[in-house]
Amino acid sequence: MKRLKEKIIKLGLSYKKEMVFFLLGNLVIISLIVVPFIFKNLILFIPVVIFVIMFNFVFFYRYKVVEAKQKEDTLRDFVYIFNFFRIYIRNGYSVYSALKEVKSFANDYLNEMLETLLNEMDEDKSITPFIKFARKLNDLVIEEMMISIYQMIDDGNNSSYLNQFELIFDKYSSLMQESELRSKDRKLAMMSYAPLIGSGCLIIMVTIGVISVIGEMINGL
Amino acid sequence: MKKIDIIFLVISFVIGAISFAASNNVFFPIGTILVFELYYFVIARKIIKKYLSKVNTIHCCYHFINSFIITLSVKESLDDAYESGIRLENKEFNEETSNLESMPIYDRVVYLRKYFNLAVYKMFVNVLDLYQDQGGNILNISDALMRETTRTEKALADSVSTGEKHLFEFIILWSLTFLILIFLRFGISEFYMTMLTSPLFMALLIFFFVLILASIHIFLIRFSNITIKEDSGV
Repeated sequence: MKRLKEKIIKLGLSYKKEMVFFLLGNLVIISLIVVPFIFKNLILFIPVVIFVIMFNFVFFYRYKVVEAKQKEDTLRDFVYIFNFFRIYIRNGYSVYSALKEVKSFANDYLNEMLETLLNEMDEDKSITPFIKFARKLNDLVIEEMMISIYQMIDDGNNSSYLNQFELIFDKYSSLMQESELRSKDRKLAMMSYAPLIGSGCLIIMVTIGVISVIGEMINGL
Repeated sequence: MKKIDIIFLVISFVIGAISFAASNNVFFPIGTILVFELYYFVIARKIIKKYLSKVNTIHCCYHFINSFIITLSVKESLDDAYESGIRLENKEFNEETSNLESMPIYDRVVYLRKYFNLAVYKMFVNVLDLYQDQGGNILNISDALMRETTRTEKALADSVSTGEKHLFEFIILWSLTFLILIFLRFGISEFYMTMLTSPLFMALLIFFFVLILASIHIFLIRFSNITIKEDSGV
């Protein structure tokens, strides 16, 4: 329960609201339990149980979707921010001041991460703050980029390290762009299933119609 | 009434006519048209408007940044660069810039941050500040920025063309599904009329039209999704 609470808060959702929604949803579905008694048909318990299972599955699965979406947004933001970081570096800013400048472009989550990185850079001159920053985003390419940024500090914006950073960054940025386009393409392609479901619905309608007409004919005989 | 409103009005009337043919009931098409129109004017119109405005703003922004920087590098004059940036046949953008004529050029450039509301424009203003403070070659200073604008413009064009390709597919597939329904209605007319008396058949018919509306809505949301970073305002 404690882990769930932490997870909900981490996702930026209200724990109280989530719990109220969870309890109310379950209560409404469980109240359907009266239906089998009204119709005196115990088989109707099966859909009620299926509804309860489905509601709970969707409710908890939602957190995974939100988490994945937030990670995707943060990575996209990272690409934007570090593109601007590159512009500042190219214009002679130091790594520290460039990071400070790009903070204003970041979303809340990344802004906080950059703030932590800058604070840690003040206290720890080693590579550790950069690695810690990269680990939070859980991406090996970002870790490589952060290492090359650290090397820039160490070597005073040495152009070979800047080139190294740009090379990795450009590749990563193109990959992100391609994956975004692919994702949009996939999502829109999935919409082709809707007319197919519609056609399936029409076939079911005709089948039901045929069966009911045959049924009437048999009963008529 | 705009072109897009008329298109949707026609679409909802066509779907209404199909629903009338499919249900053989006067109230069914009235309900269908009302629900579709209500959906369009309350929800879809806003989404489409926002999407078109965003695409338009992004195009204007990238045109402005590129023209501004290139002209500034050649003529080294903010006035000429600004004039070149706003030389664009876009009614909304032209109206916005014509309201700023009393302001000094630099203030106009800064003011446009509100209009474009894009992170890349904010970066452009920062680069321009840097150029004014330090001098140097604007093309060198803004090299990475221009590469970014080109990259983003290409990403937007790809996204729009992908969306259009799937929109065409979506329309064709739904048209074929409607053809099946019309064939059922008129090809096996008597049998169809018998089937219409079944409540389950009517329920599935309602589900069919709800499915159309739901699929239009989801398609619209996915189609209009553009991930370009906006100005955080700081």
